[in-house]
Amino acid sequence: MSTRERIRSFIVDTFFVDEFADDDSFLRKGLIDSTGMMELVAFLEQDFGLKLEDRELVPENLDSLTRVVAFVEKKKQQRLPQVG
Amino acid sequence: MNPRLSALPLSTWMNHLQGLRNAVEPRAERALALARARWLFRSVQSVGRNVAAYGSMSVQNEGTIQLGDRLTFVGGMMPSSLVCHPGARLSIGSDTQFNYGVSLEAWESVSIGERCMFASFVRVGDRDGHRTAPIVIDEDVWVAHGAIIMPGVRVGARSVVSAGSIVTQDVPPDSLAMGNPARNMSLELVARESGT
Repeated sequence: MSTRERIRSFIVDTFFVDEFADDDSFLRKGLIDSTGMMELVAFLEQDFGLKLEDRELVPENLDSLTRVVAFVEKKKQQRLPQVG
Repeated sequence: MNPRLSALPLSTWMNHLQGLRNAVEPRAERALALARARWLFRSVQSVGRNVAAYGSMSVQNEGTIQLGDRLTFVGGMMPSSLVCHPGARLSIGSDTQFNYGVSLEAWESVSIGERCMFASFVRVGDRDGHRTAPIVIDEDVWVAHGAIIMPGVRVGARSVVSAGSIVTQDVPPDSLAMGNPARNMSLELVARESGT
């Protein structure tokens, strides 16, 4: 399953939302509230083995599926050199 | 019975009385709250104007307490408590509001800015058994029910602390602190414009 599909299925299962576009703002569409955002962050950290800094928890990184996927891919890239 | 009095039905008189009571009661409560605050804060070095306490409180001042103008301490199921130990400093900015059961304790320094809101059962204390370090809460901060602000923490302006959070590290301005230990996220990420 791709990163996009994994995150999308987490959001659908956790927040009981049906249809939303990849570029929909979680906030403005009312898809995820503040507690939900914390759940999403915890999910990204656990399932993708990432460590998110507090200053990275901004709309540019987390406020739509497209942005979350791009952010996760970027974080994975940053992590790779340390692992290799 | 006076025929003029009985000309109006009893319910009308009851409505008039109720209306009078509704008009007078809030003002009486307000006057009582201002007088109560004067009495409660008699040991405080500097008290601003129109400080009101709507319920019982416990104030223990052996240091220096400074209270701004127009503070409100709401009454409820538990009295709020202000404790300032010898040599310590506790200051609260103007227009800050406190719900019941709030506990503020200063061993060294606790400073709270203007226009803050403290919900019920919030605890702010600058000593926790391990260390003592000053706490600074900047202006326009909202601390929700049951949150605990730990020693050495600075909460930035316009930030929000979620209910039940344990804040162990600094909160930047315009952030939401949530969890135990609290994590900070940008308020832009979670706060909708009012009315949308």
